[in-house]
Amino acid sequence: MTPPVLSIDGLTVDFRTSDGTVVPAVRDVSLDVGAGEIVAVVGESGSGKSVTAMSVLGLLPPNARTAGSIRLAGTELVGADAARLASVRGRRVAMVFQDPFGSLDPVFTVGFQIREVLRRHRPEMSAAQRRSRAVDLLRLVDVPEPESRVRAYPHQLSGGQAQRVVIAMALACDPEVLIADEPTTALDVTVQREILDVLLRLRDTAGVAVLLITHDMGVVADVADRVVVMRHGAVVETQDVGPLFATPRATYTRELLAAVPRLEAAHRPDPEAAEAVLTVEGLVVEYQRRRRTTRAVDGVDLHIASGSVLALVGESGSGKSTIGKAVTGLAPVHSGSVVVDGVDAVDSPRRTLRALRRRIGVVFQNPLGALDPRHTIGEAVGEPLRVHRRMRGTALDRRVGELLDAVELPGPWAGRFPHELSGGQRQRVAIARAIALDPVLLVADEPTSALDVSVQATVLDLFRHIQRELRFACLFISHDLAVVDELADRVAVLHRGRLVETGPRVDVLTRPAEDYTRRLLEAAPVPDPARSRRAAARLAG
Amino acid sequence: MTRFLSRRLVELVVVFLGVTFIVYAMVFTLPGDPIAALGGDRPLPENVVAQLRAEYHLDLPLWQQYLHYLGGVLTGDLGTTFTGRPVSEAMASRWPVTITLALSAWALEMIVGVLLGLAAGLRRGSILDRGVLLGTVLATSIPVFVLGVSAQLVFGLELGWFPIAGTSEGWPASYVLPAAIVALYGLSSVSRLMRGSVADTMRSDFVRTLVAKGMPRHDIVGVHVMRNSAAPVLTFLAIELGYLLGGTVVIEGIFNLPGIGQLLFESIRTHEGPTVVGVTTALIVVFLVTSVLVDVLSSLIDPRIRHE
Repeated sequence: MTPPVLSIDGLTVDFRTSDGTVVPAVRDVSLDVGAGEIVAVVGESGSGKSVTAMSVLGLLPPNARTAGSIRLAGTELVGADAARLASVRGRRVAMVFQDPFGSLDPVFTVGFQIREVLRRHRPEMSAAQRRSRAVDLLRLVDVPEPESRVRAYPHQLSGGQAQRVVIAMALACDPEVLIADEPTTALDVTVQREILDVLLRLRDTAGVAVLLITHDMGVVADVADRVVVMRHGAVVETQDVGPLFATPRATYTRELLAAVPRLEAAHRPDPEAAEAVLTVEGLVVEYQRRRRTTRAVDGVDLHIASGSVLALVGESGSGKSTIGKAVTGLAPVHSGSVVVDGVDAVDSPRRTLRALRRRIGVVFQNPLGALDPRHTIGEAVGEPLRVHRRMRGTALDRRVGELLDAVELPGPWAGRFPHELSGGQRQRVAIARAIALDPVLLVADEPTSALDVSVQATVLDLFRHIQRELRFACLFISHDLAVVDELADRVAVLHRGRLVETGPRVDVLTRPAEDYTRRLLEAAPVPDPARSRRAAARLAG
Repeated sequence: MTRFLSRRLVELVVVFLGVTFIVYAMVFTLPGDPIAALGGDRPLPENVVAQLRAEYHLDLPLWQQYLHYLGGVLTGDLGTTFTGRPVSEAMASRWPVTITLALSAWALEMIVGVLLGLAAGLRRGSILDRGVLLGTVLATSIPVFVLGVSAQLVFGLELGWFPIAGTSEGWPASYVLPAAIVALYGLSSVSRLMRGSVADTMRSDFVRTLVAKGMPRHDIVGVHVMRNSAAPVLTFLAIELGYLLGGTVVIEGIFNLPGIGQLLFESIRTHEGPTVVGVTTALIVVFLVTSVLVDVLSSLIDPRIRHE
């Protein structure tokens, strides 16, 4: 084996907080990345995987203390001075971050931002050479029409194109190592697929050593050669990707793998036939901005029977969240009808609509944004009861206790504030609040997308359990087909505001009738290296 | 860009018509009859009053008067004062003073405020940051006449560096003290705004990306952070310039600078309706033009505004 390009040995990172306490973030982490190799570092939030990545380029905040060794082909990077770091950053080691729009300066063209790296690290190049190199780089990462795109501003690009630009920027000086921190997490599955293909091609043709930070086992199975599993700041296990999935050694790895939702389309008993709680017919939602009209939803029909879960699947911009908003009265309905529990949710008197809203529960993606930081979770859960049921005193406390119990949170926690809870616990609070008024319909918009896989698994379990028990109808909005597979009875696939197909879960997920659904299914990363590589080979061949 | 500009210009015309009409209506419905006041204690003969009313279109309904006035404005005629002098002439000698004072104060406020804000934003929580906050708040809380008179006493009389009144010594000597005092009051807003803007930008992801790209700090701050932080500060500065051009009545009074502010003040006191309306109209135009200029400038700085 050739000597590794990047070698991390015994890396330890602590953060010193303002009150003098020392918070350990990374303990004794060692890993190697060789040329032409993709090494994935997986772990959940707080595992120290991003801190490890940041410490390579000295990007940690000033209160971090780093010990151990990070060597780039013999150059020591731990404790390196500004000059040595400057000779490495962007030139020998480049980095790609999660949010492509955040990574680009919004007020400069993408061409400028690529050229400035060249101006910095390749001073011998002329302006004309830099200009043509920028276009070449965009072409290398498959940006369409690179000659004109080079003059575009970040906001004029799609998310996938923006991430390609970020990768092009990282490749500007032919780095030996590319560190990619969750490079596809903010992207749609089909776009994710294309970005991962770009990474694979770079490994194969340019021999770049790639350190890939991710929480997504599907992505790992797709592209990684070797996997480092991290937990609580330490390495739990390091293995080649095949054996890791086949015979994981550490218990934690096994738990992590077990928690990953898999698209198995297993048969489950159908919920008994019941009358429709939600009926959407010919729904058209249009947003007017200045004189331009955007049709976000275009003629969609949906039905959800009481006690069953309809999953609304689609990529960003497909209109899936807009439908959820239209049902809860938050989006401008242009035409069509939305009937919830026999009540017209579009054209009813204000008073009727207000009464209807009591019977619709809502859970959003980000529980921290959905909960008032100044209210205790008891107050948050009790608020709908106070406002709509005029509950007070012990009756209110008792009901709040029951609701917290239903979402498996200890009753005494009612006095805690949202920031004292973890992400999964907060989402439980949001669910408790949504079911406080015994809704007939629950709209859940990506309720688990912001959570770690193991947390997601428990929240999904809880959600399914509560749904079975309370038998509300549920509109479940998600981009994740595996999650949908675990929860839904029926699946509706949306693409650009139109309904592509709708049907029972097993039918849509195993025998899709439409091309678009098939593409969506194929693009979804599968947490099984053997299967995903076969699929890749089939696509290539 | 052309569409952006033309929309702004249409908005400008609408606002101009609306505001001038309101001011016009307000001034001419004020109590007190200027024609009667012309005669002093002895009432004027009926026919003279009628003739004067006809001459100044005061016998017409308000909206017709306004249209007459508007027609005059469009041909460059802002009307005549009751003493027979054209309003534009009354203003002409005042503008240079006010413009010089406003621009000097504004430039000072911009340069010092932006630099202080930048320094404070880059080193949040440092002694410098706290010092800037404390200093600007302290300065703002001193009444303007106290500061003005004290400055005259110290720098004018005791040290003898600058004249304490009038414009006879021209720019810069006559304007240093008043401009510095005016600027001092805007400084806290500009520096706080810039500080917040810089601090936000420094925390953004693209700054981290720039560090990872190996860009040197002076490039990151000088090119990227400055341009991203400029937009909100620029908007404030433009409003400030419009306000300063409106004349700083108190400062012009303290330093005896014959500017627009003093003219406006005197005209209001003497019921000099045409002058009040004329000055106000000119100020509205100044204000609108600066706001359009700012919109154009911010759209040049931030492409997202341009492509909206």
